[in-house]
Amino acid sequence: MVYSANTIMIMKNIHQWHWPRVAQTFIGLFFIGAGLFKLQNYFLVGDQSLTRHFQFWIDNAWPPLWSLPLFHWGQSHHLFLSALVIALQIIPGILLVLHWHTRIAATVLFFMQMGIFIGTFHHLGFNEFVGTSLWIALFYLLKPQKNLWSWPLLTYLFVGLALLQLYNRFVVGDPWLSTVTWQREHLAADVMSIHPLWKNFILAIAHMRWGTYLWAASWWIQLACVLGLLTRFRLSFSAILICLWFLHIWTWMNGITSQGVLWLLATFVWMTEEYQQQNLNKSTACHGEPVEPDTRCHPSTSSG
Amino acid sequence: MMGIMRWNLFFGTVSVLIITTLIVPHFFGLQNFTQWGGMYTDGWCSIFIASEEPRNFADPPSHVKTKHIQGPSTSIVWYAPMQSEETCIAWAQSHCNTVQEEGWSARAISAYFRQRYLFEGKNVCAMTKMYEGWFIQPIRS
Repeated sequence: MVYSANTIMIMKNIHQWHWPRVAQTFIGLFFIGAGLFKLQNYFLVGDQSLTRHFQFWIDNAWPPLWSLPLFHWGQSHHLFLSALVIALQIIPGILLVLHWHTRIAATVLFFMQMGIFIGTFHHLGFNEFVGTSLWIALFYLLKPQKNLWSWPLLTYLFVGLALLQLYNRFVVGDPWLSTVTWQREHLAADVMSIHPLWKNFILAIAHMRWGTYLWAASWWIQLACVLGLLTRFRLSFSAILICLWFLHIWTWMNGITSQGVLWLLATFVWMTEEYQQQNLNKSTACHGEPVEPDTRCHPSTSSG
Repeated sequence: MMGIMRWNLFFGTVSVLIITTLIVPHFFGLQNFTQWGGMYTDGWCSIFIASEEPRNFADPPSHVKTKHIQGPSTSIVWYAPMQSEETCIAWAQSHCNTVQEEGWSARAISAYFRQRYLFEGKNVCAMTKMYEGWFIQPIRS
């Protein structure tokens, strides 16, 4: 039997292809989790409702004026809308986990998350959080392939979101030594980490002189890594970013909430795809030889 | 080939850490705050503080000073923390005997979690500290 050069290349590199699939499974599981959480809170426990969420957004003047009638309508049909929201997160989540009709699942998720994005439009924290979910939906909607314009576009969007995230942290005061004391006090008094021993370990480090510097340096390291995503070493920079996200989540677990988790997952999606893109580019250049990640042929490198 | 193995090892480790610490942390004895897909929800845990133990926290005598706390007393780094039932008790007990801004000490505390009083509204300061050292409140003189 005769195989084409491309088929041989794919067969030789088949072991690299499963990481984007693993990342997609995690994303699907996350949205299933999001739907189940709403199911429990809206219908099983019943101590939350879309009506109250919408009212909170409206009271804070987060939705644009033109969208207010939509949210008022939603408040008067909240049970139907709650069920719809749950379905529109669980069903695409299942499809993503099973890798069935990925584009349809992503399209549904995109419109679903866009509703939340509009509802919280005038809030930078939500722009970042919901923007991350929109980026994920856009990623699976476009399904970037070799040498297409979509992957550089998604990369630049990802960097833009990461800069917004860093701006939001800048406003809180993360980059400055002067904030370390009250942040440490908040961690000790009100926040629970992934384990009390981890929390004590972090607090012990934060009490040391070098630990104080390390605490404030975290923001600057993240900034350097985000800017590093625009260089040929972007895969290595993203590896540092994902490690920092783990440390943030483990430390601030009940304060950082699912926003931190979504960021980590989005970074993992970006990384695994970037790894594949680099291998595809190198493999094409080398006619199917199995290779290590390389950036020479990547469109975003050549264009910028 | 070394580079490929290195990245496969990295992605594998990240995947294992996502599963163990973020998806099902409770299976491994770690804290779980529904951060896997859960919406941000504060206000699940709140505490009723009193200067001495009242017969009923909802209707204390006039000479007993009371206070209701729902969120952190410090500035917030990310969001006002979500709580589980376990951390709600620990957080409540960490306030026992602390001096309040108004100058009186918290001698009795009742913890309230998701529309119900924990331990039927009994004073958690009179109970054994179950989660010693999980939360450390700032000391006011």
